[in-house]
Amino acid sequence: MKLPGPSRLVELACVLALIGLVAMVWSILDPRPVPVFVAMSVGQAIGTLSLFLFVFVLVTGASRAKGEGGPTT
Amino acid sequence: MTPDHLVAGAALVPAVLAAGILVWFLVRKPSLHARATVIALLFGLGVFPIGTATVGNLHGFEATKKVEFCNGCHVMEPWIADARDPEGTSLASLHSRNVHVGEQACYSCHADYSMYGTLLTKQQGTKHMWMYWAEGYHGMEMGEAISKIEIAKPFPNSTCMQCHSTKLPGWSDEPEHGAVAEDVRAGATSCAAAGCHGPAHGVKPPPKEEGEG
Repeated sequence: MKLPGPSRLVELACVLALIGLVAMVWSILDPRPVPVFVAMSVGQAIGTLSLFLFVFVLVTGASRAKGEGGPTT
Repeated sequence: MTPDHLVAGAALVPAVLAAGILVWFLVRKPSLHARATVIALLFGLGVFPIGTATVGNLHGFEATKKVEFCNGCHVMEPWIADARDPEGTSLASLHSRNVHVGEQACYSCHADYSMYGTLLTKQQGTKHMWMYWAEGYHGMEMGEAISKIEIAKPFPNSTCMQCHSTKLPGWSDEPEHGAVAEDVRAGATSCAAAGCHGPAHGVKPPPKEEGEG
């Protein structure tokens, strides 16, 4: 399976981060059991995944550039 | 402005900043080769959301201590109403009128005060959420809920002894206390037992309607 390009992956990370942020903000504005539970589990998991995706893009981009002898970004 | 509002604001500000960066990237699609873009994304995907999550957790944990949070599940309403009854004589009502317990009345009495108490209390709360949504309490009639809901394990005297040390003369001079003092301290005789100071809540099942059951 071919991975999407770096730009697509970062866009996906941005969308995931926005979803995670919405969950976290929901729990702050409406601190009832369901929003708090969703924010502390699903929201943070999605947010962490988005950061990992971005770090993955950075690391693979850097290692590819190193292999080609070019700049890292 | 309350401390609660300040904490909420401290969580919302980085969320708004992060959202601004993320929407900017999605709309403008700047080059990933530009160092400024990478730094902006580090803030939008890392620093600011982590800030929101950290302060949001603090806000969330504080929210879970409030009576209103427990009241978020409808089956808890009779217990909350009992605790908030200004003329109630149950242990819950008497203690909820205390300014040091007040709006955190449920947590003050039902939290686990052991070494890992905060985590154990949250674990128990998560179990309650599971029971509410997956084991039928969400759609349950109040009468049925009142007859089914019971405390998960015996109420520990150590919770009462957080405030009532059992060491002062006012306590030990009571003849009933003197007779069971060691048992009370060891948890063998419950403070909240019927006949002593219990039942802790004055919640009773609603009377059955005529022709029912």
